[in-house]
Amino acid sequence: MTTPVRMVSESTVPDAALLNDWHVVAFTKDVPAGKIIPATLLGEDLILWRDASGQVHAWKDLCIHRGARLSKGWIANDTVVCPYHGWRYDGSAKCVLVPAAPDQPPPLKARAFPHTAEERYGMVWVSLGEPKHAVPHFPEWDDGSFRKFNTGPYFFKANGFRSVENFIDATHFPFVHGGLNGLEDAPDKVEDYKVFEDESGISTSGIRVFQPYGDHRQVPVNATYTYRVFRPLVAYFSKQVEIADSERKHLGNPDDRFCTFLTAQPVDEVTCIIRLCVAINFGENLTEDDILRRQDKVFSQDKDIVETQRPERIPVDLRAEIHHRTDKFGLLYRKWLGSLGLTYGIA
Amino acid sequence: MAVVVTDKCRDCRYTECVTVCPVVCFHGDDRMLYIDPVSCILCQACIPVCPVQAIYDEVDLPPEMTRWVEINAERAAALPLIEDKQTPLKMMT
Repeated sequence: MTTPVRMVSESTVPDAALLNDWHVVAFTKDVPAGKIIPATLLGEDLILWRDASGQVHAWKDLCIHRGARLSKGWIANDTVVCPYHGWRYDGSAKCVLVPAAPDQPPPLKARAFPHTAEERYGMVWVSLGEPKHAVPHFPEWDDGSFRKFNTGPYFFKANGFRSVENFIDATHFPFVHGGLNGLEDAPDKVEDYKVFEDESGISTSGIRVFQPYGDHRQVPVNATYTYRVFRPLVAYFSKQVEIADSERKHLGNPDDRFCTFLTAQPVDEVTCIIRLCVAINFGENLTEDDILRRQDKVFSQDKDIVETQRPERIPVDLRAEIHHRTDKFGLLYRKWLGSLGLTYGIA
Repeated sequence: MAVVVTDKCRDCRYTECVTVCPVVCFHGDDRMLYIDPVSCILCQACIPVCPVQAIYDEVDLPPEMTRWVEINAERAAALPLIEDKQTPLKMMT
């Protein structure tokens, strides 16, 4: 390490760039009407709940009256009930009942603290500030030829940026996912690829690798990954798969694609929750269980390695750690994070 | 600190270094290459691939070659980037 790094105990406040961005904090299916779901984003504790009209809400986990946690409360008559004195807040965050004075209108100042929330791709997106960008566009979401599945959540005791960098790294497959996405005894030589940066993020040209069980059909494939990072904690790849075994090659199609849209919820600087939406346009016989089983396996292998990385926060000084030519995209990712002026989660 | 190309590169310009550099920090003219000390990340990947050992980390630079630190900085700033391998000027045996 050529530069000093911050210890885990030395925390910092989240940067405006992260506060004014969208982050996934739950799957839609995990926020049913009638329940209060706690979540933590950038160190702030939140509650998520869905009103009777189906609208999702993300509020600070706090009752202004005496500072109790609303996450310990419950839903009644389409309102959030504080567990301490039973104050009730409706979908507009206004207190509509103080049970100790049921005949009076509650004080106007008695309000919950709402944040902006939206639902896309089966996920609940929240911004703690004023979002400066739209929720990133998942290219295959509107394409009916792709089946979509939400997988996760995967809880990583690891920095969100390190976790995203692992997702966009094509050279760890033979070792972290040996026998699955690569071969430890015959790791792929990764051919040179190009990297790009534009206003919608950073991306790569195709990166070709051999995968012995490269997809859920349990067949060897030559896979070409094209990566994109839309926002600091939202990334994606489109993987073109071609069956490598000549006897079974006819079972595949040159347009076969497996795409993954990944979000990392920054719980704090060194903890994140990964959620995915995967899109697949082949393997009609694959069940949701087949897809989930494989994703769970791959991400538990990633978790095991990413949780070991130190310093816990990602260094964006390019002279800290070593970047190989084959790490060009990870290197660009760090450079890009640095250019956004981030300090939260950064070594 | 810097990694520098020295005069052993002159009229050789094998450019293998360019193919391993992760950050595109080589600049050059018709005769030799130079490293931009601002964009170089000091990974030292280029040092072992140079067939004529023209590249040094500044800390390992023989005393009579120290002027190359300044020459690299000056020339790199004035010359175009070399992103791809060029035809070497001298045949390697």
